[in-house]
Amino acid sequence: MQQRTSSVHNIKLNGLTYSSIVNIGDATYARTNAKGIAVQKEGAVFSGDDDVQFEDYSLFDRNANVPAQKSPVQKRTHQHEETIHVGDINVTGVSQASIFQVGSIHEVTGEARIKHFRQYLHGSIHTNQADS
Amino acid sequence: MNMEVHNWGLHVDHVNVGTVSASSVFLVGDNESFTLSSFYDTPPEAAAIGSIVPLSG
Repeated sequence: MQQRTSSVHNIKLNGLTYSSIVNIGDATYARTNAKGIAVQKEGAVFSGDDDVQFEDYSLFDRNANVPAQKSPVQKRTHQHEETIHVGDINVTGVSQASIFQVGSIHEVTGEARIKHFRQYLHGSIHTNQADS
Repeated sequence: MNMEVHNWGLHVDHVNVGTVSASSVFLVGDNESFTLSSFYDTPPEAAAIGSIVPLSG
């Protein structure tokens, strides 16, 4: 497929975090990966007891449900204009294995695994969140 | 299966994006394939009341 040129007049990006990519220009292949555990705690006093490990949660080692094979669709693309024109782009954040690119890219593979916890000072339910 | 795509002129004035997150892509350009996966577990379902130290496994 013939790839178009991308023309962007102005970009404003505030934050780029956690295995993310901002690329200006063409690329062939990109692979991003990020995993995180976020613990929000009432009172916000943290100690060694708050230690949490990726291997204690099955979310981080179960297989991703990615397609087993490429699409059998045969695609023909006709580029009638060789440039994509964009005026202004305003992005607050790019995070957790994400990509913001101006330019063409042949193939992208990405994976993000995020687990959130909230801990309250007082609660009547005592749950064990470890699942593996 | 066959598919024919005609990309005519593309002119965009202004794009405003909050956040591109959790294995997502914002692309100004052409692409052949994306394989993107995201696992996300968040409260209230994941609320850990009391200890979050694993008791089993």
